[in-house]
Amino acid sequence: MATPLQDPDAALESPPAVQEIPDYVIPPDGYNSPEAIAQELEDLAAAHANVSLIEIGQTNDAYPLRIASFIGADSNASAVGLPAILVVANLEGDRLATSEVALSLCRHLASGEAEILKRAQVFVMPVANPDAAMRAFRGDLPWRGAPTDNDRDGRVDEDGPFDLNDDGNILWMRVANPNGTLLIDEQDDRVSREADASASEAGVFELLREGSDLDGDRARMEDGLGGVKVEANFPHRWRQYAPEAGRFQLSEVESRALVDFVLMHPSIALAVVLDDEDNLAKPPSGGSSTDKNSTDPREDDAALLKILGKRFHDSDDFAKPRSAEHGSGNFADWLYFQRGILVLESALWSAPLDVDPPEESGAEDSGEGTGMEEAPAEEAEPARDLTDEHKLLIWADAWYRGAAFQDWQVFEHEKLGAVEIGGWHPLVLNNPPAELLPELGTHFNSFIDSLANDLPQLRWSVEVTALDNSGVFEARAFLVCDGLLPTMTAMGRATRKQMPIRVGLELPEGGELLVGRGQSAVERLDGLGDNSEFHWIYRIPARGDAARIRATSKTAGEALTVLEVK
Amino acid sequence: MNPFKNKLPRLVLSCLGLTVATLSTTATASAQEAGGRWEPKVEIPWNRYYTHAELQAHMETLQKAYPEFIEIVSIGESFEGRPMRVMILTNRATGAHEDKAGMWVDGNVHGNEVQGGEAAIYLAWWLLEHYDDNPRAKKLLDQRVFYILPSQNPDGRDHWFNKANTGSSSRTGTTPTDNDRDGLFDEDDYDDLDGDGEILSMRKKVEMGHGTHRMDPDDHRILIPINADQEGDWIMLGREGIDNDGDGRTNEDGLGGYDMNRNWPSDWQPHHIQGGAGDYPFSYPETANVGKFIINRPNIAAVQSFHNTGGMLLRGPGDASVRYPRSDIRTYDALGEEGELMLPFYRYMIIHSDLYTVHGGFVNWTYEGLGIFSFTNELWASPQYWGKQRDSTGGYWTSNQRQQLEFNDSVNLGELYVDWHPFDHPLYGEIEIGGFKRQHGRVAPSFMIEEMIHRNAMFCARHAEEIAEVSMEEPEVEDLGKGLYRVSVDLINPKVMPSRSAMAGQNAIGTPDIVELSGDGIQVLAGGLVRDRFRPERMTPVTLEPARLRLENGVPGQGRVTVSWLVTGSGDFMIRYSAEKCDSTEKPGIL
Repeated sequence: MATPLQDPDAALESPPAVQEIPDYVIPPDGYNSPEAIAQELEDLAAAHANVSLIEIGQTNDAYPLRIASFIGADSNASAVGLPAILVVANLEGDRLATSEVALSLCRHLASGEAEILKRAQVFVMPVANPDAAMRAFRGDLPWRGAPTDNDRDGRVDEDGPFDLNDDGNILWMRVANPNGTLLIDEQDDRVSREADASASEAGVFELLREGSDLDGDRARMEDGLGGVKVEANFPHRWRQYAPEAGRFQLSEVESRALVDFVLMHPSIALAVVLDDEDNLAKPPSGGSSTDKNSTDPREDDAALLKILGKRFHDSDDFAKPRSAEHGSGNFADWLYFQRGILVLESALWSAPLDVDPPEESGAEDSGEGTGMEEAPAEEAEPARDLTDEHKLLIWADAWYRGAAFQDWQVFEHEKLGAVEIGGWHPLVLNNPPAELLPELGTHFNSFIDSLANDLPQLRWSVEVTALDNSGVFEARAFLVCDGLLPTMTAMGRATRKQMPIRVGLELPEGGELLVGRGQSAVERLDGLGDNSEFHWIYRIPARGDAARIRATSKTAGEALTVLEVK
Repeated sequence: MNPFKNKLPRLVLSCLGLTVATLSTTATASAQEAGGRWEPKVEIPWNRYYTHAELQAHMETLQKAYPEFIEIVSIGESFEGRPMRVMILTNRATGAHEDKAGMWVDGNVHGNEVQGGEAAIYLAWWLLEHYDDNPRAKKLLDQRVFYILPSQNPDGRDHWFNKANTGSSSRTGTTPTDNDRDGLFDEDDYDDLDGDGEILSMRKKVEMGHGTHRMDPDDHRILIPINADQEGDWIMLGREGIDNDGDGRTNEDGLGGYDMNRNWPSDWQPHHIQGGAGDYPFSYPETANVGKFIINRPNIAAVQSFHNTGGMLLRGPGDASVRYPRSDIRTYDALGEEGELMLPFYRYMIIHSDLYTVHGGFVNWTYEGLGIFSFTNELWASPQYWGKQRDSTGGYWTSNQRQQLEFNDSVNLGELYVDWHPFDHPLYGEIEIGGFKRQHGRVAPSFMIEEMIHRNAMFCARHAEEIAEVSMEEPEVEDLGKGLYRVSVDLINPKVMPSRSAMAGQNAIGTPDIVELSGDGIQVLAGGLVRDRFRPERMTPVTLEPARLRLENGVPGQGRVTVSWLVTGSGDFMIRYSAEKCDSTEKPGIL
């Protein structure tokens, strides 16, 4: 279409494009609102004895911060001594699909059929940032409510983006500017591309968030509602001078409450964070540094991520999502680099880049691909000179018949003159159509269940010998760790914030330890049969109970055995 | 940084000039000093140390004596529920404290480092007692505000006084902590085995050849480590204690066991990088209380946090990875070098390079995070025992043991040393217990307390005197013809400290200084900083709000800033300067 940036008069006369009915509905249609998710959690807790809700705080907008706790459905089940898995979703706020998948896990866990609950307690927080999620669900930007003076002018939240043309979404404005760096792309006029100075091109416009200059300071949309990102407010690699990172580490109620919850639950052996970064799709390389700015997991831990990532993506019907750039001050990094808890991160889904253009694939193919049946993106044939945005538009046209991208429409701006308003629907690139959510949920639930065999589990291998007839025994014992995961990550050994395994010899009344240590600690055991040897000589009364040895670990449970001569 | 250099720093010279002028107009003889005899309104003996409750009582006494100058506000409670109360010290008749630039003074974040509490109270007492006779004290109380918290760690302080301790123990707060990761909290602390109220040292005589030390032939109290070619018959067994939890170690999980001066946001790092840091910044009630109070008071322009020991005036950075702007270093240097003159045996030092690395320190946060010029004075230096510089055998922390014993034997008649005496230890058998009491080493002897706290309190006063004091010269109006005018004004700051630190300016900390031109008949076309005072056209126009100029770097110390506007219209106008960390000022003009 002609645009005011090319030919203002022609553009002003152009009617908006008529949209066709899409095959898929655009998120958040078909999604549960954060309030509906909260209600369903309450219903699950009311209906199932093995489900309870833990309220860890309340947001600035007065939404409760809730974590659902699940234990085995057996009426005698107890969380005491069990390792725990923590699943946290949607810290960014606009990743509504992660909340849906976490909710799906909650339903699965409440059903009594979840394999994982035979070995672990599971904590699930489907909506970790309710203020932002509510705004995203309503079509606003995913900001939190805590007032912040972003532009440091003494006025708070006075000039933020808003829905200028009242179309239900806050999109972007193309604003003519001789200093702008952007041009309209020749192949697809919806695309804004950087001018190529080497080709003697000069930009003619800039992109600004939809909005006005409400405070009249000639800066536009520089101080919107709230401003602190929860996912930038955690202590590891916190950026002191970045306004979105908060005034200090854990200054925000969401981040502080989550951290306090983790600190109060040392049984958390594994965490899963569903958001915009993904270490399962692309496991990081390992390192050995414990530097304060480290972003590489320890080599032993990186190897575990590789194994679990391969399992998560070893299915043909689940395409690898793309990970966001490694952020600073995020929750997952705090868990791992400061506490030593292994963290699996998944973005769950990304808009496919490999949908064929209509002219090459034929009309009957377009729109039927779900991306979940396609081969992983990096294995697809690269498209011809197309940028990612071109590819995304091809995909969006196929799936949503143009409705995912609001074509640029002229708007007479009170302060900027004629501008164009348009762009991607705010949720569409990071959230699949609701029709795909059940499949994502099923896949994720299966993966979580598969972790049951990975959790560390302690057992004793013991040989007891009577050294004489007066009750003197020698015990040689191996404490063995089964399962894939260690009792403590390699990073946990460095942080010293995970508890070692406590080992104790329990003698009956009148018993006497002759050789060995009655109480001792094993710092950590790797999985897959790693072990530690113990040696005791002791004397016990002839008619008393036998001695016992007990090993207890916060993350691997307890192993108790009676020392008997076989 | 030789403290005996034969010159006065530039800020002293500038200050003396100011004082002479002030004295000539306002000084009067004080009734308190009639006949050369000074009788303070409030008597506080400054030759002893006080418990937290006693410090609180002194604050209340001062408040009753000087109600118009002191407001006491609660900022919360310690872990054990002791009140944490800040004394807001200013003359309320000259304005509300929020409207005055101020200084935060605290002490004793480490529970055993008690004398900072007395120094903080002394500062208030001295200024109040001299309000009528000392014009500089009067000016500080009229134009500045001091926020004084004598103890950041009242639990640790009282524990140090009331329970058996060493000079270095009870540094921590008292939140239970599992230091040895056995699931138990604070279960293996020191033990006062002989019940004398002190935690001393244990030593044992063993067979010759089985020891690590030999007894000094001239003094049985001193054990000398043996050389490789010598045999020893004594071993040292550490501080008084037993293996309370039966894990084979002694005294490894005592009360608390963390460091609240590593619990602040700037460059905070977890325990495996910075020992004692706590789970996250502000994780302890005491630090959270202080942090919340300071964050909400952007008028705080100076910070002093008293510690002991070693005789130091410390500034950051605490880590080599942190860089301070050059202009701020000049400001620090000017203040620190004067401090060296004021405090014999003290040295002006940089924490990470002259002492050790500190992540998450308090004064690191107040400067790096909040842009406030901040010092930690480490009160008391062991060379002060004899009034001599340390010799080659003395370090920062203890000077020669023999010299300390000689001091205690002669000047204190042996008061602070417990001679070695036998004890039957449940694990080690026959041992001896003895050594210096807690009051020796890190705190000044009672007869030297007042000098120590006076000099340090006066360093705070000097720091506060150098808070920026921006004045505005008369605006100049230049008629450029055809209804266009150039309005220019100079902002001048004679003090050493800028109105905004360069750290604040570079990192957009807080709100910038604002110079605003307004008038009903005036339209502002452009405005900005003038870069060359001789070429008024060399003004850098701002793109946003030209009538309301933001001075991100404020007004420099002992410097000036010129701003100008191009305006049209006619009539009266007003130029107003406002800043977070110095007084506002304004000047009218007319077109």
